Amino acid sequence: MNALNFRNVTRVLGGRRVLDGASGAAEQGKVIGLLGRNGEGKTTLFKILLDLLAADSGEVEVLGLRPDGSGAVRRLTGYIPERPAFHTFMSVAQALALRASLFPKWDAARAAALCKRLGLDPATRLEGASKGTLGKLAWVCAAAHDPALYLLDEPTSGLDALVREEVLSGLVSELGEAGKTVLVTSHRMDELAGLLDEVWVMAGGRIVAVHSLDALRADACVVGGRLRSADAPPAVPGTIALGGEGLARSWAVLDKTSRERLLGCGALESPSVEPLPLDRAFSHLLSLKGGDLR
Amino acid sequence: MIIPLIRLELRKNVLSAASAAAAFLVTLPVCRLVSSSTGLEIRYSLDAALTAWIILGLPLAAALIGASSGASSASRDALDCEAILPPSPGRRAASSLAASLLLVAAFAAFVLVTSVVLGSAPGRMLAPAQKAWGAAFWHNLHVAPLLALATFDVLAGAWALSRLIGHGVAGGLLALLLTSASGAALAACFGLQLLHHEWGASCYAAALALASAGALAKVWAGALAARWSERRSGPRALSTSLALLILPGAAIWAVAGGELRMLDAKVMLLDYEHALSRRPRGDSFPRGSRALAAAGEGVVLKTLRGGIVIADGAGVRPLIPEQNAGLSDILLDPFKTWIRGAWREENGVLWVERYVSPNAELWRIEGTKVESIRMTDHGSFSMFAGVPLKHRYPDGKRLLVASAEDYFRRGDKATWHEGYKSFLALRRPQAGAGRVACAGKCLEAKGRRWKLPGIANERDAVFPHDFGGRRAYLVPVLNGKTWSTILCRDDGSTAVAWPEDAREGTLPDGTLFTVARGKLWSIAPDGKIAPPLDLTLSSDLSTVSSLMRRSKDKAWFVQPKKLLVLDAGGRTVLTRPLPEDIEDAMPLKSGFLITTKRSAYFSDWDGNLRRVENPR
Repeated sequence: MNALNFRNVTRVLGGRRVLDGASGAAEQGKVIGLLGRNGEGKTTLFKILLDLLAADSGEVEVLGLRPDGSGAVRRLTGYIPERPAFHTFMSVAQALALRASLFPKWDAARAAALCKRLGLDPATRLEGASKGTLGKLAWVCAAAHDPALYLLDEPTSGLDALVREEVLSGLVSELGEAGKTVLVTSHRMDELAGLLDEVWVMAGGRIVAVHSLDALRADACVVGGRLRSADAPPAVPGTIALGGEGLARSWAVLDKTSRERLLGCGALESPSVEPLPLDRAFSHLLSLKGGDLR
Repeated sequence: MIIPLIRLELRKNVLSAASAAAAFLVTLPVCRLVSSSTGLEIRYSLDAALTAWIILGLPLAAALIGASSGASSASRDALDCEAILPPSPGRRAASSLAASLLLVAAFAAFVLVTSVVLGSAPGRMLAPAQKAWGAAFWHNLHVAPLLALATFDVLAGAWALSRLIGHGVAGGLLALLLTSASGAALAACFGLQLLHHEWGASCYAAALALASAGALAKVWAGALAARWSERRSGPRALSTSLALLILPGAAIWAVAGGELRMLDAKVMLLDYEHALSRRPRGDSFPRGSRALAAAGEGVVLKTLRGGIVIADGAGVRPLIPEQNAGLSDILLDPFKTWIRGAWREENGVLWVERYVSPNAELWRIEGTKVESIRMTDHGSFSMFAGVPLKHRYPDGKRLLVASAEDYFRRGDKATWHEGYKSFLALRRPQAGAGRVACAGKCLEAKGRRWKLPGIANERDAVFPHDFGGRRAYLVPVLNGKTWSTILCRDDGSTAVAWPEDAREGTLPDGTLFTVARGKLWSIAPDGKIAPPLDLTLSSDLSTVSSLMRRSKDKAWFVQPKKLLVLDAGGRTVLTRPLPEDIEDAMPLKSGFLITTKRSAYFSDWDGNLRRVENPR
């Protein structure tokens, strides 16, 4: 059973079509990185999955529920927004107490343990609290009710190096091991590379590519070579042209099939294949536009 | 799940309620300062302040708290903090409203308890107003539930509008405006029903239901705004919410307008006196102001909307257009317009005086030609509201009005002249008046002299009566200890018209009459003195009777509930039923017109009665 299913989701905001037929499906227990440049629709997709926004069209199902405005989805989901916000007149303890009364499966002991683990003092006042404090509290709020699905929008933003390490190697890793489904965005996806099962590439309001991390590690490579003819450079789907000088050219290739097509098209003299590190693969994926890989 | 949210909203909005409470508390020492500086007893200033807080302060506090709550729950900060929580936008909106309601209720309780402890009870505080407007008015108004409704309406409106437009001050002010508009329409319906209940005006219940529905619609509008503005976008949410906010108030106005139309078609005359006791009859609302006879040709009537019509046997025709046709004018100042006087010159020109606050108007109507002279000096004008018709004379296109001592000409502006005698000097030659001379023993007029059988009063001018083109004068004279009224005919003869110095009445056909010593005395239009009719012979005749017509051998009387016709021997020859609540009966040439509180009826001499319909 999929934890997340969405098909042909569109949403217009401020006259701009932010989501334009986005489709995706996340298997239960998968940790998925959602990769995309700013403004490509990641946060809007999260808000639709959380029932904070209604889709203009398309179908959405989250943990077997259809977002209908009732907020039921949010009871089962742990969400960390890009910029966590809390009532400034409250303390950490009060913010947690409020959530304890609103989440049916809230586990106060788990919340206390998370606070301790992240070094978050419950007595801390939230007025003027640091970005790191807010980020830690967001983590506690997202995880204390033990949700089946986590939607993490830049979950390490604002955290110092030590806490970030604790979050990544500890919390996220544990979530994956506990069979929770996680959809996470980050501008530093390479940090998460060891935790991810899949990476979804979002561009132009759509999911334009889905890669298994294992496959990406194994197959992502840079293919270089000299063109036999400058007039007919090869156009192989699934490859990203990296440029070159004179007739020398190179391509980032993200899957095995594309690599074989590029090598087998006969347009290159003495082609070379070098492995592509994940951080550079993510960078190349970020450069994709909608339709690039179609 | 909603209780934690309500607690959260209470925590967020407690400051606005505390501000209102602080403002209330500051009022109390201010009352003491006012008392010490003005010498007013402190209980009066305190009662006034507490009453103002109850009537105005509570809705204003509701606007403040509702607007603050609505704006804060729609703010970006609140959405960032709360939208990600499990409760739906609708639940969060409901919590926000519930918290506002609790804060307003707490504030209201605080004000009311303080009022009971420190001041008089609210009921007693309203006592002066109750006295001024009449107990029935307040009894029907149900002040406390209406105040609660208004407070809730303002609260819901301020909350919804602030949510919708995301601005607390604008939302609060707009809510006060909307509630005031609905309140005015509700008051209009209440006023119409109170003043015209016997005519089937029953719009108040519908208006009250609409006002209640309107308050709930505002809640709905706020909830829709919350749900749609957060999850969806586009004009649909805005237009639906605005419609919910505005339409109920508009519907109340439509109900009030419809009721006014209905009344306009049914009600002929204005009568507020039975419902509102603040203006007693005969004071600033003079008798006869709704209907005045105009020299037998017809009766001038003031309609519900302040227009002037003339009614006669042929029907009703408008003379002067309605000036204050608006609903608010009728309700807020029902006494704004009334008729001051109406009379007809011998040449057929009709004069009508109408008071239209703050001016007075004199209308001269000659056939189809209608001219008006607006008189701005209504202060002096109003001094003569009770001047008998006899002392008002047209003077070209101006009006001559005399009091016992003075007179003035009135055109665009009143011009005063001193001395009643100078008035007579001006009036006498115009009217062909006679003068008592020879130490009261003779009458002189137009070069003719009549010897009087007694002594007459020299001071009065004696104005002529016209009997078929021939002039005659009526002069009261004292002979020994007995008064009698002498008719001086233009052939030089004199005759006793009736015993005593009794003031004569005039019927439309020119008959002069008076009642003296239990008998009806009259002079026929041809100048012949008719044999007296002994009124004591009829057992049917009421002491409250008005003579409508006198022929050679019959007399027509209107008395309560019936028309009575007596023959020369005092026997009843005809009775016909008339309405029970007759207020005035006015003879015309072809019949007579009677007015009741709200209607006018025309009857011919056979007693065939028909209701005079409003020409609108």
